[in-house]
Amino acid sequence: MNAEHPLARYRVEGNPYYRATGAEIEVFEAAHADRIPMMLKGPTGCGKTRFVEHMAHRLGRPLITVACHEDMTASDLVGRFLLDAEGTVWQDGPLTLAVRHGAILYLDEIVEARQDTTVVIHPLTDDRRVLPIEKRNELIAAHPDFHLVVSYNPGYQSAVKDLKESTKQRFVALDFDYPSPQVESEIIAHEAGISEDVARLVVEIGARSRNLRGHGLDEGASTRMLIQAGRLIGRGIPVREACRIALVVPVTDDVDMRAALSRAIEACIA
Amino acid sequence: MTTAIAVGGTAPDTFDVLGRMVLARETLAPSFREASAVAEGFAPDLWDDWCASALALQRANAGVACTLAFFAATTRLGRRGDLATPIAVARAAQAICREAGSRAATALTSAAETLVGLVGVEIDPVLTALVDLSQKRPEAVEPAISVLAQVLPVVGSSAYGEWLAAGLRAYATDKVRLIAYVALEDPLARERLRDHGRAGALRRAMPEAIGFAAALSGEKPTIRFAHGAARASLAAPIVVMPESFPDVPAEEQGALAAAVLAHATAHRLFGGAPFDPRRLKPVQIALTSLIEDARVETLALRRFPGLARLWRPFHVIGPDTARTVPFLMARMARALFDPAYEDPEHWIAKARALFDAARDRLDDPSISREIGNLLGNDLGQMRLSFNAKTWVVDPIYRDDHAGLWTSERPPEAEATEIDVAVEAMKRKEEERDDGRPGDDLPPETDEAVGRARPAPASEDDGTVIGRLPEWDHEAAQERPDWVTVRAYRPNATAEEAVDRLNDVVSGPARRVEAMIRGARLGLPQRLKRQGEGDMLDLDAAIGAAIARRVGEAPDHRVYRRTDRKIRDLATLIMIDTSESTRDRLPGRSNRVLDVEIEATAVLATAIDALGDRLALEGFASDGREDVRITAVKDFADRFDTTSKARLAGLTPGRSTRLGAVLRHGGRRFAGQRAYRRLLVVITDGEPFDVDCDDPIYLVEDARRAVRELRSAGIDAFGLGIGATHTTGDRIFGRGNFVALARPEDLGKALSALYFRLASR
Ligand SMILES: Nc1ncnc2c1ncn2[C@@H]1O[C@H](COP(=O)(O)OP(=O)(O)OP(=O)(O)O)[C@@H](O)[C@H]1O
Ligand SMILES: [Mg+2]
Repeated sequence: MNAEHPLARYRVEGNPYYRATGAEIEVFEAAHADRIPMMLKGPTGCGKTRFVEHMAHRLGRPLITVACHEDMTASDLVGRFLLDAEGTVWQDGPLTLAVRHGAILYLDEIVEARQDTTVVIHPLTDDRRVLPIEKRNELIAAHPDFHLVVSYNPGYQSAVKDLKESTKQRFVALDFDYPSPQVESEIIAHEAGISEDVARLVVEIGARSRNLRGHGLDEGASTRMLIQAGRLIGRGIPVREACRIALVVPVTDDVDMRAALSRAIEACIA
Repeated sequence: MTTAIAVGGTAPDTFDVLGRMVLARETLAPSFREASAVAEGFAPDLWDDWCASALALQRANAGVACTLAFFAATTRLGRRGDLATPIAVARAAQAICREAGSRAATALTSAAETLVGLVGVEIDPVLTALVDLSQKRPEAVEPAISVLAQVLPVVGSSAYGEWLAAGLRAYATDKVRLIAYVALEDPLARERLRDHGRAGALRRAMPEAIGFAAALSGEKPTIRFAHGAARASLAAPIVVMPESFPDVPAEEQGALAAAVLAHATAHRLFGGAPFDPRRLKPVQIALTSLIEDARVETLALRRFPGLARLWRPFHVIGPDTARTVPFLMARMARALFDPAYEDPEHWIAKARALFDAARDRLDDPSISREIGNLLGNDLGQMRLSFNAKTWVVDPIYRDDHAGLWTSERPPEAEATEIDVAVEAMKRKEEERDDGRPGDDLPPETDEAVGRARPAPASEDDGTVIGRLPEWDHEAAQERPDWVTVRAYRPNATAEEAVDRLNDVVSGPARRVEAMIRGARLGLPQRLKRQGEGDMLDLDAAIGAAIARRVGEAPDHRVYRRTDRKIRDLATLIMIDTSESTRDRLPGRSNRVLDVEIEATAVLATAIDALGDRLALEGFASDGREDVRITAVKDFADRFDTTSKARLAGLTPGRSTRLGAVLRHGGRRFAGQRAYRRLLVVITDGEPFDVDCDDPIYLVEDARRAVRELRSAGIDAFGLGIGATHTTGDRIFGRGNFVALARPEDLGKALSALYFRLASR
């Protein structure tokens, strides 16, 4: 594709490392073949974003990522008129861009967006596969390569912030969770550039933190946090200290919880 | 009277009378003016209370010194934002003055500031204990106050009454010795103080140790305390802890607590089925247990090598000890734990060799029996005797082995041979949920063993306010009109209870209020397409320009402005008042229900000040014909004295039929047109009712009720206090249920929940 192509800058460069933990690659490929909208569910930092990047590269599709937030409006997704010297010009939003030219659109943390924003994807995610742009009085039929992927973290807020049933029911969903210790050690060794032995220790320590989920912590340490601990260790910070600043201090301010977690980390260290 | 005061006072009558009484005395006038000017700056309720308590102190003839000290305390504490303490102190001083005279009362008012420094906001239990003392031994009050600075840091405010009570019991008839006791001049007093110090240190260490064990195993141990036990005892998932470990200094009780729970966790993770004690000699039972300890610890150390550093300091025995069975056992325990330990005793070397030979099959618990039996025979041949009755396990962090054995009664003839196990079993029966020594239990707790106790005869039968369906998960069908909901009249409560509630609540409530209010102001909302505003809404303006160009009528709402977010939220909090909420918190005098009430009152006070809609109800049940609802406050009501009295008057009793409560709650929202409707249930246990023996039934029914609520647009949340909640997540859905290990956290959790929801 030449550099002028509107999606040129959305090509995924390199081959983002992704270690499969199950059949997710095959499942995604199958869903992609029929452009079935895909929902990735799972706790923070468990590899959802990385997975989409990897798949986009693997399938040779451009990837447009939108981090959803509460103040996001439908115009932020669809596009808006801007003023320039000649008058008003229309600028496609990320959704329209993906729909028009054919890309994977990844709406990260879709629950963060308000429900009246998320409904714009409805006509795109059923048999119609069209995007009406009211402001321009335009109806775009989706490019054959357009594929919608969203992520969703069923956390504490689920009952208050939730997708509409009619939104949910448009997707097939993959459950993501932290990988098995063996796989997670591999990932951490790779991402943090540390030995597998040290990575295994970090994973063992991570398991302690995950055990406290619901027993004083809202969430246990994510793969992302463990990688960060691993990176600090790789840079020469002693294990205890690295774990304290990467795994204990960020997640809780409760004195007892900190002490409990620190003790458990200590128990893992030979 | 000065004009400054006349303007702001909200209690003119009390204040006038007070002013006349006080200003008549020249010595009091200046400090009175200063104190009342400070007190007047507080909320009207507090100011009223202050005037009333000051007046009461005057009327009790507490004397000039006492009053001066009170005014001084008011001025100094008031300037730090604390008027509640001077008020509480004045009330107590007035009561003490009646019994013990003005010198004792003066001692108290003079100690007000010191007290705050010692116990912070938890001053009430101390005051209550002193007033109580004044009724029993008026002469002892002054000496008791004089040593508060030594006693309180050790026993803490909640156990202060207990410490006094121990003296009162010991010296009920001996006035002189009792006075020596309260003044810390009696050896028993110092001994009890040390006990409290160690016990307090152990208790304070438990949350950390419990979290530590949960982090290791993923399961949270449940802790009970046993009075007089020497070692912990396991009865999974419960760990029965001694109240304190007598020989270990207070500052080491924390590490010891962690070591105990780590050892318990090793059993939990790597232990096998209980051993059968029949046909074993006591010495074999003890040795098998010790090998089993070594086995599970070795396995635990393979996974958690750092535990060695935790356990090692408690292996203090050395090879130079006498050649008796208890010492040999302790030395063997050390030898199997610590590879660097050297011991010349042949028997120990043999134990090591046997254990080492089994290292590649440590997964198999039967090696403990094998090795234990062999070693037991050897001890027999060494002609060393063993007295199981007097033996206690060493090292100290190990449990007493009771949990390792089946409790089947052995044949009569061998009864004495398993004393180790049986003794420990007996001890477990003494355990108390509230962890307080048996003799200190308030009498009502003894009756409260059963979950549902009969209602007092005088009570009303409640007014039927509805019938609700229930879900039978086995038949997979709904039973229509299955449950009868009745409204019960709220109890009338004495004003003091409301006052106390106000006192406890006012500080935290203001913080919560500020937090929620801050959230509202801190999260401005951008309003687009407004008819007026301070900025142009670009999209709208362009839209209008385009419309005009193509000849359509433009929309004139082209501005945007930023506004406070409006919370449109109606909340119903349902408070579990079932029998189990009568339980007292470990080491504290308040009940679970009190914690529920206080936490709710804090949030309700804050919400009331903000003007959000909130309803409160208490619930319990006594079979399906009697689901009992006590209305405390309706959505539209203010959280005023009436609702506070109702809240404070909730009384524990009966069971928890959660599904019915949820459905009833759902109906209460009828007519509440809010953007978000929120039903919060505070409960302290699993659903349970007298007419249900299938534990799953009520859980599944409640789960269904939550789903019904959700589809009606009502968010249901559960907050579970204490104990382990195994079904909360299932009922409310993951993430919509929070289990609070420490009841004290309820207030925080409840307010945080509201805060999170309100700021969305
Ligand atoms: N299976 C995996 N293969 C390779 N890397 C992984 C994998 N899982 C996690 N990671 C690593 O973890 C990091 C965090 O993952 P990622 O950013 O994809 O999380 P996420 O699930 O999208 O989290 P959030 O919900 O917070 O956005 C990645 O940068 C990557 O380094
Ligand atoms: Mg991500």
